[in-house]
Amino acid sequence: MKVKVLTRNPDEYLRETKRDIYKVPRNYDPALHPFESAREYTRALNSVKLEKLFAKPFVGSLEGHKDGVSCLCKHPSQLSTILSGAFDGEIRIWNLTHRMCISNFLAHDGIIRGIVFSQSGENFISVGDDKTIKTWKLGNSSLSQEEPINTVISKTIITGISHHRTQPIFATCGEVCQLWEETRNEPIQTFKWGVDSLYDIKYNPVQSNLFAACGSDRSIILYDARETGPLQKVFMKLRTNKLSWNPMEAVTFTCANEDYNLYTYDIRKLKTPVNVHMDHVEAVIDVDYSPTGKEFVSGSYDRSIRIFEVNKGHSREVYHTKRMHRLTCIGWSLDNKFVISGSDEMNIRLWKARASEKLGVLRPRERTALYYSEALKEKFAAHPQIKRISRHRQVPKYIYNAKAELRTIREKMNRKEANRRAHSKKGAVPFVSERKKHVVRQEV
Amino acid sequence: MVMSTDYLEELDDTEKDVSESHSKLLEAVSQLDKGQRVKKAERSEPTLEVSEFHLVKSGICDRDAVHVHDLAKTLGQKSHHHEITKNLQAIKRKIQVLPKPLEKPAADRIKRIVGFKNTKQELKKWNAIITKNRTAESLHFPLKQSSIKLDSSTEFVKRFRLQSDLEKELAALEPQKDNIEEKSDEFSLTLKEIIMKRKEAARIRAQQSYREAKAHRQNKIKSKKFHRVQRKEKIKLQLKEFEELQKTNPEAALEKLDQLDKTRAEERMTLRHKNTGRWAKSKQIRAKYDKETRKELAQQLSVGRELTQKFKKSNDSEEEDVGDDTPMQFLTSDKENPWIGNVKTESEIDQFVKSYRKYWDDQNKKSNAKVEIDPNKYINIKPKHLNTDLPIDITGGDDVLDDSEDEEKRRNVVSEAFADDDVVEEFRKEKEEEVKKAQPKDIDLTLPGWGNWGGKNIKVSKRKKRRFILKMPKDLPRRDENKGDVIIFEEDNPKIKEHQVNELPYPFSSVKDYEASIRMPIGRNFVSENSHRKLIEPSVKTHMGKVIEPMNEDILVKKNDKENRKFIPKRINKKQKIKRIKTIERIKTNKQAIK
Repeated sequence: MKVKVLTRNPDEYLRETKRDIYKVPRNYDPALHPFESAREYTRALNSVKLEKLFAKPFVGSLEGHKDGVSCLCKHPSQLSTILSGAFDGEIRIWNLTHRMCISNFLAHDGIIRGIVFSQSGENFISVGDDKTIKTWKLGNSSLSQEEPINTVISKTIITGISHHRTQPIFATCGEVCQLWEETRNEPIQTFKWGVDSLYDIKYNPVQSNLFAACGSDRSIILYDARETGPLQKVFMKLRTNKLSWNPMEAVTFTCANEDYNLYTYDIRKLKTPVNVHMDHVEAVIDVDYSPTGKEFVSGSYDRSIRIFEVNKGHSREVYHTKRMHRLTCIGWSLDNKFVISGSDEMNIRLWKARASEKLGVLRPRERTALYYSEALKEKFAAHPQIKRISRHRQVPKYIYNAKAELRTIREKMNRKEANRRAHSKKGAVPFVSERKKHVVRQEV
Repeated sequence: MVMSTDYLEELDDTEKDVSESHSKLLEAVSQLDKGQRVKKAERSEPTLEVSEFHLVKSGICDRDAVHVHDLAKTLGQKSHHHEITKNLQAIKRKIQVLPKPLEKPAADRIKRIVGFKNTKQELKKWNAIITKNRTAESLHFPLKQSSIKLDSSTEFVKRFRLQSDLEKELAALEPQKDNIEEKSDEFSLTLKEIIMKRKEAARIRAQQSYREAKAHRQNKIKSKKFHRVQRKEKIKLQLKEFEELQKTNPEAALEKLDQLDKTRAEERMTLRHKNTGRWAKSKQIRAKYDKETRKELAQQLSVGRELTQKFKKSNDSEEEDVGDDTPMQFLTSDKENPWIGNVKTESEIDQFVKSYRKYWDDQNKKSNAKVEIDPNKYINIKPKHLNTDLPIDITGGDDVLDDSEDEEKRRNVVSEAFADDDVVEEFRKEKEEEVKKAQPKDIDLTLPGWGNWGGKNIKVSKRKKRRFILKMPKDLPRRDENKGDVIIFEEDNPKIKEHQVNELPYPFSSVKDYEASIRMPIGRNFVSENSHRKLIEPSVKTHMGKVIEPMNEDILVKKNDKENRKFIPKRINKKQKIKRIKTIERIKTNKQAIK
């Protein structure tokens, strides 16, 4: 029997030295590589299982505060520096790479309500329950923070602070909303629109003349800092605790509400939120956007952290540990890799933003392999097994039970509404979408 | 007396007091009557501040004040003052009271509405970038934001490069061509020459436009006959020209021949006159019954044939009556004609064809050597459906076997190897079993001893059989009934089913699309490296340790790249211009030739 074989000159495909890189000829004829989709499905299934295997999001915890952590502040340009304020008036400066406290000092008499960095990142400003606004210099040792650079005593109680992104201007909220210049001791502007007090204030990082505040009368108020002052107000069914602007979209912000949900708004249409994000089982305390503007993280009173995608209604990730108590503040690091959380039990915790992501240097082949597995997971996302495995999360019993309870409550309400609709005149019980349900009214 | 005087004085004092207080009272009462308690403002010191408290209430009249109408009265009705009084009266009529200012809450609301409207308008500038980022396939953070700052002077200078010594020498040795051409440009034209040139250009332009207009007009004529005549005339004219050229300028004629060759090649490439287009197909349906359409189709084909014919024959159209062989000989013998090269004679071609046919027949005979294969021993499967790792070319290629001897040997080897296996029989049995298994069986619902005596060897009554044994239909149709060597499992496999999608996922609107998306592989084993890399690109890419700043307004500024700045349109020099014009003309003539 004669067999014809293709012969090749080995010089053409063997390399002489290690550095000669040849393009290996490859035949992509589909007849030679059968069962593509089946093989890729298996790979997808494996990679989704591996993702679960490698999901270890907890990086470390920073201990040192003697009371619950009340607020966190990220440095605008240094990734390793964060500040934290506590309920006993202490401020601590942390180095995240070494997981060390650089310095700590008693800044205020009473709870620290907010800390912000000035636009250069050299100074930071803190506000507390003692009605003072203190400016500090960021230094490496505790000595440099013995005395504040500047102290302003305010006439009113201050509950929040936010700094302009490029100018030396900051806004505070409390009984009234005030604009301050860093070098002056008097507010340059005061805005008041019939509210008893405001809880949180945030400058828009993109369209930097706008800022928003949430008030105790369940309202969210939009301000223009230049001349007009307050622009619009929207009332929700329950109080909004915190809000955060999308750093990549000038028009979008998300607010953390007492009714266990988060709401994403488009400021051009405040009447209805763009999206309702559900999953928490207790009041949401704080929210912070990822610097890419595609996701945000929320901390809740139910002792869990959840990560949501902006355009999705349910969370893609939930973090919890046995020792972590009620969340008081949360932040997403500016390189999009970490999440920082502060909680009632005096600890600051560092988490990975993607639970199974490998930290450290990736070789090119490793990176492409990871990209490939990501792409496969996305491709086969609708397949039931892959969906099940990727969605499954082990949650503490109290969250699990609370979820079940909430589900039954919701079902009960739906059933009741359906019954009412069935037994009343047509059109008397209208269908109200979930988005419209939670907004009471809009005011101009 | 003293007493009395004292008393009088006292009385007088009291009386005075009383009268004074009385008069004051009266005054006060009288003023009460007027109802104007607001006093007129009096300026005690010079002040720049204008306050609302300094304004006079409009109701207070001041008798001493001089009013305009008093002045007007003095003017009287004198004729030369008449105009002024008229004007004054007109003004008096026009005076209106300003409206009351809005309440503060209402004013604030209006302010807020206007402010929000303006803000909304301002936010529109972000719309484009927001939608772009939302719909982007993949985003790379930090987003590249162009800087709007200008280059510093050092950077600007860096763009100019100093010549090395060697370069300088080379430049001195070999002056650049552009410079020479520029020098030739230096001789400026005189005014007359310029005017001449312009006139010439205008003439050419006018002619061209006239020709264009004419062509347009002629193109609009619908008569087919006219066009046919035109075309023939044109061809004749061209032939004549060509002949003339042949005599006068053989090189130019050769060039023209080349062009015709080119049109022929183009025609051969296209399907234009091959009756394959939509028009031709629609005509073909009718052609069976209609003579004219048949004619038209034939005409189309003939046009194609004409164009694809070798030009030489048509070239010697006048000498056709001499015979077919002679011109060929003439052509080959004529060595002076440079444009007719080595053309093979017809006899040569015939010979080649004959020899080739012979060779072909021999080959076919060899491969058609009879091979005996028992069709029952092998399963005939179309190689298309074979999902093995080996390609069709290797497993079932005919070319592997050259000789019948080899094949016989191979057959023997195969039959030896599979001597005991009766694959076909096994498969048949398997299928029978499967069919049997799939057939539903009768269900026996009888309870032994119910309503009867129980025990061994007791017959079940007919009535019971009829009532309690559920009979299933026999020989249910199967999908693989007449399919031969195929078994189709009609029941769902639960193990597979739990991996299968039972709902169409969101962005897809049809099952077909979704299946296609799943079918398309993305791995390196299946697609080329480049497409693999493109397909697996993540939607968001970030760098470890790189701060992603919020978006700022720089992104709205249009990028001014260095590349863009460098690009300056090239100046076309004379030679290039001439070249361009020539090429354009050539294209035009080509088009005409095609027509």
